[in-house]
Amino acid sequence: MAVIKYTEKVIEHFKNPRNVGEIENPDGKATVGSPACGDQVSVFLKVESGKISDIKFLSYGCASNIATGSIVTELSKGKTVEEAKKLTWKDALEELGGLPPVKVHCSILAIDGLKAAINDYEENVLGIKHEKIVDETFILDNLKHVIYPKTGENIIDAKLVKYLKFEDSEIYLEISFDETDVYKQNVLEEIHEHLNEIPGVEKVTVKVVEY
Amino acid sequence: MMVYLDNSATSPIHPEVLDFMYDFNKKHYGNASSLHFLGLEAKDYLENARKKIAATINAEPEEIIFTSGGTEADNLCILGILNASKKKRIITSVIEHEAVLETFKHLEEEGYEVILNPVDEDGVIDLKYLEDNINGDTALISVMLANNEIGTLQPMEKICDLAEKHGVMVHTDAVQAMGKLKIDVKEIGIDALSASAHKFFGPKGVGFAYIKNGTPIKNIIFGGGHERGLRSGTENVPGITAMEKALEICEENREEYSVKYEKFGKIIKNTLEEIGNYKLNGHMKKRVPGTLSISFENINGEALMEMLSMRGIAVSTASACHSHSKEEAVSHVLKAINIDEKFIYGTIRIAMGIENTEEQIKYFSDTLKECVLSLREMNDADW
Amino acid sequence: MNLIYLDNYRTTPVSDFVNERINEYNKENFFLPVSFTSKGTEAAENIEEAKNKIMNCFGCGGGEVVFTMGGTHANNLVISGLLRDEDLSDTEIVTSVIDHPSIVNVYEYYRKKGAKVHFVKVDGQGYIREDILAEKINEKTRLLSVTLVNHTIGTVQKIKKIIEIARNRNSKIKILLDACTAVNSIEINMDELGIDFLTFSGHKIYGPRGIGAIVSRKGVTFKPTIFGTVTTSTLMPGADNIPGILSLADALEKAVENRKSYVSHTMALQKKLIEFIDNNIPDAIINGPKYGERATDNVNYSFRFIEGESIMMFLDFENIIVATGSACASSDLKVNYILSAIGRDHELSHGSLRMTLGWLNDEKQIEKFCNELKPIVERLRNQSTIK
Repeated sequence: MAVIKYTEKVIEHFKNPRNVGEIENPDGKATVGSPACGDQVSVFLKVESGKISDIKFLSYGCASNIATGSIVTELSKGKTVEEAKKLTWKDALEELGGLPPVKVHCSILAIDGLKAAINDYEENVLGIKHEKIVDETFILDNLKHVIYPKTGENIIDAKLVKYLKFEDSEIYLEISFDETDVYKQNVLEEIHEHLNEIPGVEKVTVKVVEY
Repeated sequence: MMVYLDNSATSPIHPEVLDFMYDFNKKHYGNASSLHFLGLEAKDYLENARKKIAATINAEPEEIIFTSGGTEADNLCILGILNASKKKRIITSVIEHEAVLETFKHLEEEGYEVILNPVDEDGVIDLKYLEDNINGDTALISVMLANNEIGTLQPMEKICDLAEKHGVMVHTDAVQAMGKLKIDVKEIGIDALSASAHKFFGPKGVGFAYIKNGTPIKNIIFGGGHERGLRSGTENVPGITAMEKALEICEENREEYSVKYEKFGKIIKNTLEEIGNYKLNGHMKKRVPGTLSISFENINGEALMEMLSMRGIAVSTASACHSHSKEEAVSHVLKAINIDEKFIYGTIRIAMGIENTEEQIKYFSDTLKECVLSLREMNDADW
Repeated sequence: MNLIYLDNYRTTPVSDFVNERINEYNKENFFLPVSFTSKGTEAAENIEEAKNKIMNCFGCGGGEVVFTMGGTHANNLVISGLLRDEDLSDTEIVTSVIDHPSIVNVYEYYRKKGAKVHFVKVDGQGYIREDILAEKINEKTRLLSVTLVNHTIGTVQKIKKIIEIARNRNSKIKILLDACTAVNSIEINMDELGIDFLTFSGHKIYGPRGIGAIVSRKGVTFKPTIFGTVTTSTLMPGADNIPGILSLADALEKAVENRKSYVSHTMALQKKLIEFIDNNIPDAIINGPKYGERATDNVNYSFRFIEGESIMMFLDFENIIVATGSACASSDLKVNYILSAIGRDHELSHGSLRMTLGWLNDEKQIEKFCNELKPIVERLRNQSTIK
């Protein structure tokens, strides 16, 4: 079992989160995650001449959820929308001096929140329609948002996913766990949560191969 | 004068370790599995102890699993490895400690094929026999590093080499060796090892297992998932940190203690020469420091032990572990090394500890001589 | 550092009284009880005396005490020891859905091995559903395990009634009572209740770490599942942890001696805490039975709209230690199964906080805790996505 310990910077952002709150009449806003899963982030944006002039967030979640929300707003404020789009969860992680493996998923959620808010801005203010081609590559990218809490890697890099097929709006996935893996249930829930959100997907079947 | 020479049964806790534990209990009471900061502090102590113990035997921290002692560690390694294997043959030596032998006996009842590997007259395992008996269905070899009664060390590296060739796991009960010998798990090539704190001047009720990374193993105790899920139950943090402290003291002073035991051994051997009609058991060179197994001709070891006890000296007859039972008065170890009938009943074990002084050893030697000679006189009178 | 420790169900500090004893025993009583020496015999006698003290404390006349590594190990030994040689395909075992992991996880293991395992549902306050219990017990049932005081929500099971139901359905059924979190506050008489095995642990009663015990009633036993040198018990071989054994008996005697005052001490603090939260923090829901019915040293609340690890950490900054049922704060990220079992949804489980009281707590500490808790909850609610 890993020692769960936060860096001083995480603690500092948890204690004094930056840019907390809501923006009235935002240019973009989004809420990602769910209270049932223990973490949810809302991001609100104001954009002026292509730059993020103001950003605020709300958070339901643990210390790392609050801290990652805070750091992501700090990282993106003042940046152009294009620059902000390039931010990754690894940037957030680095800025905080790292997170315990079981908490890495929080940084993904915060970045997802930012990107979803930018998306909302682009669709509603700029009128850009984001066409998504849902194929196996797209699903694979989505699965990279599911973190294996034991190592802090995503489940693709952690080599847990053994097989993936997408056919007739159905996803079939094989994933392997050690019989005694305590994170199995958590990872499976996360996978379903991510895959069920993909438009055009009607059925998700995940087969667990124990070894 | 009180002279304690039964350190292989249990050793008194080192005064520094005792003070440390006392203070620890006063100051820290977090549970290492909890998340809050006292818990974190306890966790730090726990992980620090794990790191240091691992370094002592050249292992990785995550390869150390804390247990309640040697018996549990032996059980965890053996039953755990077998739980994860489908193979059914298991090999151990005839001179193992009961923690291993009894476990094997149980496994035999469960349907395992148990091979008891013989030893030579010095108590060294017969390697040829071992090699002949490893087959494709062999899951595990368990051989103790140092014997608790006669002190003989086993050629563990050779055993591990043999095992590796056939893809067999090796466990060693290092309870008697830990703290007294330099142990390097990588050099030996061992898969699993067990140790117990109260044999190296640490507290009772705590020990550890080393399980090499990648070794297939399944837990035998179920609960909150502590210790990599292998050993559930709230960690005994004061006991574990005290164990680490004790091991550290042993390691730092190992050379010094060895020299001291060597010197004491000479004093005792000189007396034995004066007494006459005795035999030293076990390998004369490849042995654990501080232990002597002596057999006196036509003497009742139990009577000798009691006489010594009345004079304030604690030794054991065979192994303290089974001297409660009369029919087992002759231990399986002494039987296995084929000691002459005339000598076998007159066996005592001397196990020195760090607190022993030269004065004590001299008193012991003189008293031993007096007791043996008077027992022999009594025997003569009986004729 | 002025510490407010409200996590006494996790572990209790070693009392000064016990610590002095441990220290003394380590110096004076390190001998093993086997050699034919005066010290060895003395050790054996001391162990016998400790066993008798322990049996007395639990109203157990003439049974046996087996010393273990702790509560988890004690429960494991009893369950596995009873089932070891059974034909599992013809064996049923029963416990509740909210029992301790050291019982539930062993049951899961035997389920995989082929035994029929029943986890009896509980009501909204954590009491075992007696109607379901009766349904699940039949002539094949070997064992019923009950945790007397639930470690999360402080429900005290109606053990007398439970045993009556069980024995009416199957007179031969064995009863295992996990008393780890009960010893401090609840009197238990094994013979009167008809409990076959009782387990408890040193570190929950201001006693030594790394040791616990199984107390078994006269005439009942189980088989060993750990093997080695038999010294004082065939059921738990290996060198006896004498200082641990002797100081465990001391700690238990002290707990029993002080039980009445412990109950009134913790109950007063509990009342204050519950009244404060009920009157000052909206949208807080108590988990487990109400005041007067729950274990006197346990308080558990769910705070809506916020997550427990955050509350716990903010309290931690003020040197206040509590526990949470939030999945975020657990090592396996699983939702607390006990809170789910009493009908709390995930969100409410995430927002749960457990305060467990003990000897070191006083009114002032509770006041300080209450004063800190309120603004923390308000602040986290202000920045929450859900309102």
